[in-house]
Amino acid sequence: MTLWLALETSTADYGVALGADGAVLCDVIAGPDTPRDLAASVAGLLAHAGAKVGDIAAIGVDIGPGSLGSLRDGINFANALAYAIGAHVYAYTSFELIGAVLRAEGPVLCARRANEGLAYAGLFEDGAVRRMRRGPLHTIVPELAAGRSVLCAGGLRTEAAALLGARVSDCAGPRAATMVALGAAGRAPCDPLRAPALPLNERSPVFHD
Amino acid sequence: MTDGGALILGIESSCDDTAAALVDADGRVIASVVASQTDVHAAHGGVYPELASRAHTEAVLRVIDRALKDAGVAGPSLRAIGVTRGPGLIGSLLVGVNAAAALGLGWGVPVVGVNHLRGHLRSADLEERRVRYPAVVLLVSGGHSLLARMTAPDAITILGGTRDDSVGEAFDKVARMMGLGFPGGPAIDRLAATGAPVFALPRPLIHEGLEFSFSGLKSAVARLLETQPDAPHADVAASFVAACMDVLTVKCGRALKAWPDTQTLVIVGGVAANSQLRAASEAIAAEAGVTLCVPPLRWSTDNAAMIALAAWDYLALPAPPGPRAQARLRLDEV
Repeated sequence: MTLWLALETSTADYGVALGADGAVLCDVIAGPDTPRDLAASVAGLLAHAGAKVGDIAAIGVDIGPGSLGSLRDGINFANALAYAIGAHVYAYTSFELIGAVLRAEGPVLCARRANEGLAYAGLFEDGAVRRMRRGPLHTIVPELAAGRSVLCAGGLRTEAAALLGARVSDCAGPRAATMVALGAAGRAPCDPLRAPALPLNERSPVFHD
Repeated sequence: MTDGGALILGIESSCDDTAAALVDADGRVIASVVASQTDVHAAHGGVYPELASRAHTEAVLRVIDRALKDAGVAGPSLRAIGVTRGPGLIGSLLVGVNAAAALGLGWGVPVVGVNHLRGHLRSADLEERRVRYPAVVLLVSGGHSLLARMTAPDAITILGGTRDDSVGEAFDKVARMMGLGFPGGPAIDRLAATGAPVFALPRPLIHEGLEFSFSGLKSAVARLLETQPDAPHADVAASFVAACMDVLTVKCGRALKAWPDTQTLVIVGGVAANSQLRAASEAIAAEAGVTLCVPPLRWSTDNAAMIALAAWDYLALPAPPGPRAQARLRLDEV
């Protein structure tokens, strides 16, 4: 059995999914009121699927932007598990996971809270995130939308839509299952030893290009 | 390949050193690898938490892989993994505990979360059994200053902690005041060696109990530098170090008098490298008729071998803690 494991920990709800051939076999979400124990979640899903940890061939992980503390949980777990069992690690941004779910709706403007009262925002269009910014919501959202008609998603979707007079989706955040569906197509794996997956943060070049 | 069944992999990432080591139950260190972040933080004059966490993520698997290769051991054959669970910087701790949890799952190896302070206490028994019990332990490092009594490796009573700064923090802050860069401890020590302790600085709490306080001493140095801008920095450094060492050694002497059954005085932590502290402690230990035990410097500063040795103690517990990060953790907590 060749399995995909997906870890989504960009918020306080930790999503873990196990899949094969682009379909989710089983998944679990651990929230603030339940133990956010990734090892226990993965072991539970493997037992449910009747599989062994060595059956995992690829691990998808959300690298943000999002809560840095919780992202560190998923990313470090993903890198180390891949090293231990010889699996590949694939990194996804939170915004491409949100955008991929809504791609049929046209351009998607994703907005989430950052620290210091700021926001992260990204424009997903034609199957990919085109630009990302970190800054005051009222500045970066109009800059990214640039007059387009967009659908707003993410934790700050209502606030962003109000700024633009845009439509609001019901998608509040990324899901682990989306990584299973997307697979590795066109994506290079990270090297856990030399170039491991790392969380996006305010210094990441992607917010400044 | 060596059989790893007699070895524990230790992982340390509580502050600004990423470390991995393989240690047997007798404290024999089979491999030890440390990746320092000094260059990462030098420009900031201190440890910058987000950069520390990122550097840990970049280095943690590399140091583990190196340690395993140096020892010729395969991960799945290990007896267990011991990882620092606290105290420390939360973002740094998360790197180690999540890496350990995933490796444990992937290799089918148990994982225990180790109190970093207990690791420091056990560092004195790395490579050879040095400590005879009961022991009085002085832990002096960048983040900690405390005295403890140990009647066995896992039987620890705190005798006194610090009410404010640790002595290592005071060293770093005074170094910054004098523009000595980061890390401040070694820089202050080097400068102090070229000066004389001519300035009268306070010895906080020296006549009281076994607790420490270094904030007032640090402030006194700041006032001295402000009111006497031409004061030779070497003499200021020498006066500051002398005041710190007086306090530390007087407290050790007081603890030894209070517990006359003590067999060993143990000094661990990065500040244990200070030559004045070693010399003064030798005198106090000789006067009390106890053996002074100061481990080699490589085991005094943060390392993973001490975490692995402490993890052997944890395996004997009925329900050892798992790999859960806890930024605040006292020595008397497991």
